[in-house]
Amino acid sequence: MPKNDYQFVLELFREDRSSVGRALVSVDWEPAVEWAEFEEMRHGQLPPVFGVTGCAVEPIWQEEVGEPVVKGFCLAFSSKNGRAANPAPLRSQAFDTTYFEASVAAAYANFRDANVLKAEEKVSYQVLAFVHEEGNQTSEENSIFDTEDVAQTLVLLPSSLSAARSVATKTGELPEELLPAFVPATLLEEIAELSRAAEAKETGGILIGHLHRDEDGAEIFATVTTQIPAQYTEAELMKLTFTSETWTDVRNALQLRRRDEIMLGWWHSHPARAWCKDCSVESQRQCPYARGFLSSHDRGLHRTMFSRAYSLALVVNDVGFAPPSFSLFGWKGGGIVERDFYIVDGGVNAEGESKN
Amino acid sequence: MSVATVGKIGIGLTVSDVSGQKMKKVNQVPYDATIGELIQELSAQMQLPQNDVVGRPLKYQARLDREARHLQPFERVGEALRNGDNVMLQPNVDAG
Repeated sequence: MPKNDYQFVLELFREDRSSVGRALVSVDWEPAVEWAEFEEMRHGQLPPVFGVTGCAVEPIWQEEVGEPVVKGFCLAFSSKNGRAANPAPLRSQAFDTTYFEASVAAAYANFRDANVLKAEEKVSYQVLAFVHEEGNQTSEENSIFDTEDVAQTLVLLPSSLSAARSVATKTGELPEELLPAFVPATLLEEIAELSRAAEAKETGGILIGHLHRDEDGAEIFATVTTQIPAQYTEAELMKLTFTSETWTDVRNALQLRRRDEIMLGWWHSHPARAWCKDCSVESQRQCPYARGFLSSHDRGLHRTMFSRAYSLALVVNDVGFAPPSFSLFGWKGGGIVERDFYIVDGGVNAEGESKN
Repeated sequence: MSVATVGKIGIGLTVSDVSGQKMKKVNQVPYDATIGELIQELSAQMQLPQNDVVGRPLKYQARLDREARHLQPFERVGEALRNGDNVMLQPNVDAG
C-alpha cells in the first residue's frame, strides 16, 4: 500500500454548477501502483524486482485553481533499503482524475439513494485533496503482525521481440504503452473447443507462459505457452467460480511442468449461443453479448487474482451465428481495457519461442 | 512441532498469494492468533480485495504447503503451524 498523506475528496456538481455535495474517496491504489512500477521496470528505471520499492501518492494540483483541487496524481518510488544510487524519488507518469471514476459512481449512487440527486441526473465532479490532520497509517503500520515484503525477482528471458513479431499476426493496433503479448493459434483453437464442449456453462483456465526482455532493446513482452484448465470450479450459465481448490490444482500443474512458467492471466468463456438461444440470429448479431466483454465480476476477479500489470484476461465469445471469437483484456493506466495481441501461427514451445 | 510455549512471542511464516509473486514474511505471529485473524490481516496487507464487486466479503483460504491442506479459520497458529512454514492465501472468486 502506498504511503498517502492526503485524504482525497469528491465534489459533485449539477448541470447548473450548484454543488451536490462532497464525499470522501476510498481509493484502491493497488492497480495504479502495479501499473506505474511495471512501467518503470519496462523502461529500465526500476530493477525487475517487486517488494524492494517504497511508494508514495503525490497529488498534482490543477494549475488554474490550485490546491486543494487536483488534476491527477503521481506515484513517487524510492528504495525501501535506502541504498539507491539516486536518493531522489522516481516519479511515475501522471494519472488523471478518471482513476477515481469508480468512486464517483459510488458517490453518485449514495446521493441518489439519499434523494439528493434525481435518477439519471447529470453531474460533473472535481477531486480535492487535503493533508491528513493526524497522518495516515498504512495497513502494515496498523497491523497486529510484524511483516516485511519478500523481494520477488521477475524472471525475464532474454529474447528477440522482432523475431517473435516476425512469425506472428497482429489482431489490431498495439499502442506502445501496452505490453506486447503473444498467444499461440493452437491455444486459441483448444480454448474454443473447450468452450464448445462446456455447452451452456461457462468454463475457463489459467494462461501460463513467460515474460521476456527484448535483447535489442529494453522492452518486456509476454508469451503465453499454454493454458491449464480450471478444475474444481462451480460452473453455471452465467457464472464461473474459481475455488481455492482450483488454485491448488493450477499450482500443482505448474510445478509438474517444471518449465519455470508463471501465471500470465486467465481465460473464460461466454456461452452467448446459450444466453441468446431464444433470440433471432439478427437480434443476436446486434446484441451486446455478441461482442467480447468483461463483466464487473470478471473485472473483480482480474483485480483480485491478477493485479500485476502484465496480467491478461482472455474471453472466448461463443456465439450461435459465427465461429468463436476472442477478446484480450489487460491493464492500462491502472484500469482494465480491451487490447490487441499477436497470434503465433505455429504455436510456441515451452520457452515461449515460435515453433515455426 | 510448534506448540504454544510460555516465554516465546510467536513464530515466523512466509505468506504468498496464488501466483507466488506477492510474498510477505510475517515475524512473531502470536501462538494464540487464529488462522482467520491471520488471513484477515495478511490479505489486507497484500492489497488483496476484501469484498467482491457487489460488496460481499471475499472468502480466502489459507493453504499450508507442508501438509498440503487448507487450514480452518478457527485453528490456532501455535497448533497448526511451525516456524518457517509457507502459507498461501487462495480465494473463492467468481467470473461472470
